[in-house]
Amino acid sequence: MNSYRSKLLAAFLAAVLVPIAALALLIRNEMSERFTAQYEQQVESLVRIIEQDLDRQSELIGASLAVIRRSIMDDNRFRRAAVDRAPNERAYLLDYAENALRLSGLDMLQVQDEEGRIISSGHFRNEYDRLEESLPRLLASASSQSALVRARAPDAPFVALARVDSFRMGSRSFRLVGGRSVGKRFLSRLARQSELLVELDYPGGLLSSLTGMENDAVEVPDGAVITDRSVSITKELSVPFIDTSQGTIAEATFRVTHGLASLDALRRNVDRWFLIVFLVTGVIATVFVIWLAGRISRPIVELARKTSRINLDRLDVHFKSTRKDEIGALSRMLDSMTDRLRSSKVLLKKAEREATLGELARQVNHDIKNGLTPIRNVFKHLSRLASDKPEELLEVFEERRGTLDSSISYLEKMASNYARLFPRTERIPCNLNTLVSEVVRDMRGPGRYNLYMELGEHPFVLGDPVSLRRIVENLVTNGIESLESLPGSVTVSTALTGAEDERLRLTVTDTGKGMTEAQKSQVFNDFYTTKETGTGLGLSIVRRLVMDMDGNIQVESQMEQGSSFHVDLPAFDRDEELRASSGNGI
Amino acid sequence: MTDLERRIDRYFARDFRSNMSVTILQDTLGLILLVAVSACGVKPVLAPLDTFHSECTIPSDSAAIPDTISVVLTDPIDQPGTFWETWSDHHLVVGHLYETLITVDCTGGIHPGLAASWSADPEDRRWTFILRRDARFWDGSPVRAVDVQRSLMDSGAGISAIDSIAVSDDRTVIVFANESTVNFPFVLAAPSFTVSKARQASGLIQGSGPYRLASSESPPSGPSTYTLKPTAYSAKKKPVLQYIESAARDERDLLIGDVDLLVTSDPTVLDYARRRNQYSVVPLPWDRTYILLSATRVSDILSGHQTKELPQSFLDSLARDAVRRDARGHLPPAWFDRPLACMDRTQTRPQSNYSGGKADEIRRVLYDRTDPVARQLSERIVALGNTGPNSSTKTDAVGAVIPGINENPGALRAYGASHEEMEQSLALGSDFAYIVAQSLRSTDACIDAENLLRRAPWLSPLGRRLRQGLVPLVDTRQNLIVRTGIFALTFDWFGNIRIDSGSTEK
Repeated sequence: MNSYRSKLLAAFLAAVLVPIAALALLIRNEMSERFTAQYEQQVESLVRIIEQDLDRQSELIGASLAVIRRSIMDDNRFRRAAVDRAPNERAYLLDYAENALRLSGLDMLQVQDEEGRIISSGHFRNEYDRLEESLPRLLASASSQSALVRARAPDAPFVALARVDSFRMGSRSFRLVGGRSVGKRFLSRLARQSELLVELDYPGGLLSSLTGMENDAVEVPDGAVITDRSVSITKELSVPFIDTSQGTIAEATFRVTHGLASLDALRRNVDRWFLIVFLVTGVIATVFVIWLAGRISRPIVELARKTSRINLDRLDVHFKSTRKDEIGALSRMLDSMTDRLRSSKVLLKKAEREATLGELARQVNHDIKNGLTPIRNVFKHLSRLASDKPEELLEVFEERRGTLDSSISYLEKMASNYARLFPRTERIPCNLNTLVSEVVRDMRGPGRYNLYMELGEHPFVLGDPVSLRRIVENLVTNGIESLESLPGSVTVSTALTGAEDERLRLTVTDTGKGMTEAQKSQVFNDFYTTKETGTGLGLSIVRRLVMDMDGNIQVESQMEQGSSFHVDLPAFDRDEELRASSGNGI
Repeated sequence: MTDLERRIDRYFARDFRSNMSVTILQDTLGLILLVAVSACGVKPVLAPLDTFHSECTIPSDSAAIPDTISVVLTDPIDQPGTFWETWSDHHLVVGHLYETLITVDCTGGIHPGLAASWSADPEDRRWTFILRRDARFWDGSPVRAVDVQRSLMDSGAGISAIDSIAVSDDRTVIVFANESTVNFPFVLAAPSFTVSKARQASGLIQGSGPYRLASSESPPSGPSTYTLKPTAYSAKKKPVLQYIESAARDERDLLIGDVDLLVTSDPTVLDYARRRNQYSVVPLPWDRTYILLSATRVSDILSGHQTKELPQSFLDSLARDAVRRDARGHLPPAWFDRPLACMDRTQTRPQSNYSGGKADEIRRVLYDRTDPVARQLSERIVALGNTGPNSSTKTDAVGAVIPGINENPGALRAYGASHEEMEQSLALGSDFAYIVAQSLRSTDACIDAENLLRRAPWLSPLGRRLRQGLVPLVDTRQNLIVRTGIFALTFDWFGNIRIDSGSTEK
């Protein structure tokens, strides 16, 4: 998560996706508010329409009843049937309201006599002779001259907006009760939109435009929940309702409800589309960021890789770049820094050498002093004898001759050793495998150790054969000595290494006692030795020789496991050289 | 009550112990024949009458016989080959194409048909019919006894009255009745016992009547027509009969054209015909009665409660005010008004599925939605039932006859059911009440009773008390609109109309 790529991705996603999410929320809220306001307006308008429609229907009913009244007054057959009670016109009377109903377009029509007895019914032809005096009385007392009534019908009762009219014929008075249905088609006609629900809640029932078939309203039991009003917009309109069974005027309520299902669906769609946009943008951003991060971080990673290879023994790493951006500048800076390191290394080596020479000079001075001190003492002793006891001079000289010999031998050895510190080197192609084979062959002996070779291909290096031999001899001898006469093995191997096989690695691995970390840190120092008879110069000379050939040496060791010395030298491509030579006509 | 109705009542009241002939002379002649034939070991038969009663004929004022007579068919014919079996207008056609062994005029007078004479054994079980010598199918082939045997055995409805049929020669058919009854010939006059030649692949109608189906046309735009021409073996000159489907047109429009004959019950059409001088309106015999079936009434009867009947005045007012057809309050005898001894055979005892009417539960009075009379009756019953008890004498009368009808005013509904819905509900008895039409022109009360029980098995537990479970309401009849005076026609007991009654060959 802490990688450059992750941070870049997180930043990019945040920069792209957060505005999209915010935009989605804003649009969603704005849309909800506008639609809700629009729905509220629709519901209010519909309530007003219902109110106006009821008024208009009431006027139309009144007009129809007036026409029927006038028609009846002119109808002698009706007069014969209703006033003269002529038996042969009774069928005409019974059918009269039904025929008038058809002509007038009303849905409900009753003709009642002065007792309230139905003498002709249009919507329920065969309910004749029924007494229903309360209906016209209550209708007449209604404030708006019309009211909703629950009209009986043979198959099912229906709710109608009704008015009353009356007339006299002879000595008899009659009342006309006419109305139009406000159930079924009426409600469905108002609720033209599927989400718009118009209900009529009246004593004893509930009519709803909610439909399961043919766009008809349905009558549902009182109190039934037909819609979830918690997620809808509802307005109500109260109208008088005549309950003939109770003989009272009650109240019915038109309830207009606009569901929010389409808004919810719209919201879901918006959510869905924004989610899709969100995901697509996220995917595109991720891909883009991965590509961009890769493009930016790849040279940095390469720089890091090269930088990790730099050490004082390995300064052949180059950071040259033609890029003109920050990465190019960084590369050039690192290249310049490496150049300076290389210069510093030379100076450092020189300083080190100078320091080493100073140390060596002090050591030589010390060693010479050590070697000369016995000699001076012997000569002082002999000089004192020569002056005091000349006769013993020869005897003492003989006695002290060994001391002189050993001191001179010591000095000679010292001289030999110091001479070995500064060998002369030359650079020619050398076959390291051949050299290793010779050394191993020479060093095989009767000891309890085994010598193994694992020689790779292309074994040529550019160096001094004598130095190389000394390096191999020293390392192999060091490995054998680390076995401390115990059974074990020393393995010498060669192999190409480096990114482009540009170096040849010589590895000498023993199964000896190994080294501590402290020993490892000093193993290449001059005069450092863990052996009683060691000079402490073997590995330091090896290191120096290796460095003189632009190589480097590393050691890996574990206590009681053994040690491995890796010497990396510049490989020499003999074939390429030969090709180059032949190409130059050499 | 008309004279005709009184005679029909008398006919049934005598339970066929005497002929339905109306004259004492004929009864006396029958008695003489009875004595004479008894001496020979054969029971005397009911004396056949030669001519239809005058009440069953409409005479022609003109001596000339018209070339073509146009007859309106109010129902479409789906399958001309079988229309006479399933079609309600068959009474306009069947008498011309087919014959039965016996014919019965509208007063119940028995006349020869294919059988010129007949006799019975003393137990009235073995009936021997001698075929008319000149009886021929429309193609000229003679009508043999085996044709009669096959036709009777192939009959669907009514076959239960027949035990077996034997043939002794080409002209003698012996029919064994299931029960001993002197009115067995009357049974064989039913339209279901028409005699036809073996049906062929062509499906053409083949009977022994005076006419044959000559052609039929069903143009894509226009009504179908059927032409019946006299067979080559008809003795008299007869007009061609041209049948035309009304095809849902206003029948009054047809009367403006050349229509000569129309059977209808539509009061507006009848009123219009009466206002046109060239037409006469002749009421046909009462042929249908409407009854009310109610599970609660059956339940009451089975519980041993005394049941009441609707007063005749109520039934008459129902027919007069509620039904807009030619109707009357029911008058016996219908088949269910006769003794139903056969009801003892009823074995099944299923109960009605009607739950009993809970509070606020909608209770339906079902009727066949294609039957306007049933609808009007149902609506009147609902109007009275929804009024509540003690509202009027009519309401109380209905409440006394149909238990529970006034219990929950407002919950009673008239429901026009399709044929399938009606039969399904009727079979289960799952609704409160049913208005059911029954034929008044029955030949065998037991067959009709069994048919009703097959439709409404929950009536079976009533057994012999079946009559108590039925609430008769009104009787209805059709009316014949006929062009005045240009041809004669007769109509029989079953309402079958035959143009030119003199066409029956002897």
